[in-house]
Amino acid sequence: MKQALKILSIILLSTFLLSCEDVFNQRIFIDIDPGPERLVVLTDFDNKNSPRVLLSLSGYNEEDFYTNRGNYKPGPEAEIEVLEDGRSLGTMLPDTLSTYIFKNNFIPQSGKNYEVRINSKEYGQVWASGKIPEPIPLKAEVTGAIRKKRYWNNDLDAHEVKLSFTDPSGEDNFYRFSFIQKFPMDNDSVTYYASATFYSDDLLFSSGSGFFGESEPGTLKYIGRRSLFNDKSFDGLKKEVFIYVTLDGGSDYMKDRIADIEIRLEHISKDTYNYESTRETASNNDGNPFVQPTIIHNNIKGGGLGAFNTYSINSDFFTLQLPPSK
Amino acid sequence: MYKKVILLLLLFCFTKLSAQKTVTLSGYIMDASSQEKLISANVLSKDFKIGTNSNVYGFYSLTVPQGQKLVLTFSFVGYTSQDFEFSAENNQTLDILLHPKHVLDEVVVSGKKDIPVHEELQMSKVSIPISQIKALPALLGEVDVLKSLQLLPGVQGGTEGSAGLYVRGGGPDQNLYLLDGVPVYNVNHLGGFFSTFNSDAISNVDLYKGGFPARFGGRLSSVVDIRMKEGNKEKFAGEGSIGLISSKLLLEGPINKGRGSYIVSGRRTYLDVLMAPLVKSASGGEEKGGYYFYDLNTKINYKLSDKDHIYLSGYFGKDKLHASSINDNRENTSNNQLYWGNLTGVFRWNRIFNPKLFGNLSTSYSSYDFNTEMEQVNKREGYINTASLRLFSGIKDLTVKYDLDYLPNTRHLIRFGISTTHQTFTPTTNSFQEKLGEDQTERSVTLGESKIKGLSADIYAEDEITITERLKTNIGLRFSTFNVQNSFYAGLQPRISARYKLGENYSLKASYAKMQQFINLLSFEGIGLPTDLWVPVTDRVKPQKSDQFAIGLSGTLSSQYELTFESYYKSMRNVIDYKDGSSYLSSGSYEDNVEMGIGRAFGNEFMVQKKEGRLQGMASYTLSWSQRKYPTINRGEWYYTRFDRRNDLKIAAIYKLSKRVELSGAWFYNTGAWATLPTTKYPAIPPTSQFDRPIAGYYIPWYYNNYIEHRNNYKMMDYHRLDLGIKLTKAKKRHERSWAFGVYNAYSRKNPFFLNMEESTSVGNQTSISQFSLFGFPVPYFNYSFKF
Repeated sequence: MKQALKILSIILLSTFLLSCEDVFNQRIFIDIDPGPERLVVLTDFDNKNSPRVLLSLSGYNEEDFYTNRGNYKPGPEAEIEVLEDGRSLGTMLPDTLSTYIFKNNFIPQSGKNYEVRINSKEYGQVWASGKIPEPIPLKAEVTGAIRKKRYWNNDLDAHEVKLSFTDPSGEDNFYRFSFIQKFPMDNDSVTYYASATFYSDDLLFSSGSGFFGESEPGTLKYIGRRSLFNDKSFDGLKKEVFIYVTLDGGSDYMKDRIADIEIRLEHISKDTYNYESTRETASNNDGNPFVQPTIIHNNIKGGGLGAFNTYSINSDFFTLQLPPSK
Repeated sequence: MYKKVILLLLLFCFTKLSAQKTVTLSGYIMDASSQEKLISANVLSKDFKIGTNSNVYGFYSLTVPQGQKLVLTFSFVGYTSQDFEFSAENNQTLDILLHPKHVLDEVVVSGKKDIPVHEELQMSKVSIPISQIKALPALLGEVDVLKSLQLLPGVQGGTEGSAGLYVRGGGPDQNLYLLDGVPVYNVNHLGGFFSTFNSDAISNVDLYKGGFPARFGGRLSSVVDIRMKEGNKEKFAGEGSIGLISSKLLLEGPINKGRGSYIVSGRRTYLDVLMAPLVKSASGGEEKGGYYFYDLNTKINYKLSDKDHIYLSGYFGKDKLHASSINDNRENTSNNQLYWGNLTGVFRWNRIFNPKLFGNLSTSYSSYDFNTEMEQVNKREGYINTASLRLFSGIKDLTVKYDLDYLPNTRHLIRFGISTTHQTFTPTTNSFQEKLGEDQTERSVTLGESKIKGLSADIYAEDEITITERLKTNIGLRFSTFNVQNSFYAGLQPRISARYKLGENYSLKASYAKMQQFINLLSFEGIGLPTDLWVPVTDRVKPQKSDQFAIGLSGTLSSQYELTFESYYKSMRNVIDYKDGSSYLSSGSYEDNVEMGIGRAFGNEFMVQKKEGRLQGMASYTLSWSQRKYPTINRGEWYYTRFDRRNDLKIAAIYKLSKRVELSGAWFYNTGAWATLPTTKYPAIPPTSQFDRPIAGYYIPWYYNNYIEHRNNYKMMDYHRLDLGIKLTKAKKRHERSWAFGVYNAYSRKNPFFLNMEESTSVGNQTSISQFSLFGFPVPYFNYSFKF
């Protein structure tokens, strides 16, 4: 009996001692199988620009950035056919690295359905399709009201702008605002593009939430330069949104102290909304262990990855006159 | 459909309530040394092939034909059975005292043990004797009731060391934990490594995985029915232990010459005390911090008369994690603390109305809350800036219920009852307050949902019917309602189970149970910290419902080995899961972060169990599947739940080497859990946005998307682990002491605890992860315990 206890003790002690070196090594590395390389298709079809299709491949290698001079890894040689409402418009031609264009500067039309078919030796046929929604007229008015926006230790003037548009009834609609500021700098030879900062307290905009006051009712929250939303809260109604614009970054260098601002209302397809919103969520939460991971929407068929985005653009413009520089 | 079920129920209730004259023998079955009531003890007349069991209060009642002479055998696992000759002339009250057996003597003790598994009507129910639970090796020597349940088939644990249970493909919110009949909402200490149930204070643990009798309701997947000891009615006694991280003490004794008894049991960890000097010296005196938890179980019972018995019991438990710092010049200080805990209390009144009718009135209170408090103070010349943040969440229940057991004759055991519960939920409240600047401008914000009140009511009836000697059935019906805010929900839940004996040692069993659940737990599965929030159903989030079918075979081999084989299929509706991108720490409405869907779980379970003899233990194997489907999550397609583990094998053994030495071991194996991980990356920005650059006004960065094919797309490494232990016991004249040593994870298996993404740029497009283990090395333990 005593012998048995001794043997057991020796076994337990040796097991423990043998594994001591591993005690603080609680981490092991595992390589994940990335699966087969997939053809990536990225394209925007809108009513203002001639479409470009980018072909690339899945997988990530930092060296690609240098090898391809800041572009994505090029995809394979392929034939890309475009169809409008089922009728072939011909094939696209290679332009810069990995991108294909129409040489005749073709502009897609709203209300029509477009399909791209990509045939390559390595990946067979990959395809995607989508309809360009009808453009929605947008009106932007500077009301003249100014609210204060606390930014670090400064109170900035935030210029109130009323945006209004009418949502078509009877269907789910998806939108994106893009806020673009153009102003000439003191050097007349170059027009720099820069962005103003846009705020709102409208419930349409979800970004900028945070505990320390940003979500406090009545305060202005940062809404970014592109903002996605849907019509769930105003289906079929006229929607008025108040935004507030500050011109903080670089405004001291503005020539004539005038800022031309373009507001775009993009009426986007459901696929585009799903792709952009899931991509944005995934990007915002990257590396956060307390967030459910996001599967990014994919509407490329035939084993491909990427996005076939369709939308129509409607813009309105306004000008903000700033007080003289101090 | 329901009308037919009710009709059938009534028909069976009154079948054979014939005019034959009968007499009833009734009373309590108790432990002879402490007069502790024995739950589910067996009463059997071999000659007449009739029998019954004591209920959860130790009460039994057996009605037999008048004029017969019977030999009744009273038995219970771990106790010497006792025969009693009974001449059935008049109703009689008889309390039976059974003597505990000395394990080494068992080899020569013959006779029946407790109810053999093939005789028992109830399927999908497992009991582990508390003595076995205490004998098994445990992490850091802390014996844990819930971790012992993880040894059973169909029951899986969460992450390494966690006490959470996943029963037959259900989630951790689908388990009803009852302590003396009162729901306990948070069953974890120390981030889930230990459960809140102190094994010293527990007399009985039953786990129901399916075939739920109508008296249970409120959760879809399991009921863990834990009963506290009542206290020694014979003499003052106690037991205690000193371990690596905690110590325990239990005291019990009689009140008024055995008419009643009391028991008090406490446990506290001292990690905070041990670590305080280390934290202080490591931070140069600038930081303080620590963690502790404590439990206190109390119970008093008193026999008012032969017919009336009252009980008052309570449980108080709290965990606290705290950290504070102050810098050298004492200008900046911070104080952070996280604390959470349960409080339960119940008053029970048992009344024997007559030998055939037993009643129990309960009024109970249960609450669970967690708090996070953070405060920062910055002293500046002439003024002080103060910022404080407080997060609070909690749930409170107040319940009144009445349960009755009616035994009209030997063929029927009718249970029925009614209950109502008033619930107050505080899903999450965040409040922020700051005082700034010389003028101490004050600003405060409160976010989150305010209190939500709900009222539930339940009524049930079930009849355990012995149709023939071979065929026994339990038919029941439960009706539940829940009223919250502007919503009212109600549902009928039929239950049926049957046993058909095949020969002397085997039986076939089948069951069906519909279950309904009015509350949900929002839980982050990765850690057991109290990010767990209990929330009620609302007008948008409907009650969860399930239908479970099970069929099984039970048998007893050589009167020592119990075998069970069961197959089950469970379908679920209105189960919830977090949407993609939802934060577990969101302060918004929970309804916006979750989606309702359907689920299914099915599998086969096998178990062999040996409860007596020198060698005791069990082996179990489960082959199972668990899936969920939601309208938008995972593109609307089925996916496996995180703890869907295809193969699950566990073996546990305890061997009494001698009266003084006991060896134990447990081995666990299961297929790895699922995780959602990106497997590769791909370009994200379409070319129009890249080349037509006015959108952002500057060069668009080189964005890549993470590619995740579907939710839970990555299977982690398989889990396996061996625990070993040895217990040395020495009986002295007036007390007994024992030493326990052992090791958790004896062969250093590095089981996954959590994964972290790594990106390797040196090997092309290969993505790597780091897998962290929590106890990837042998963790020794030591424990000294005593009993007097």
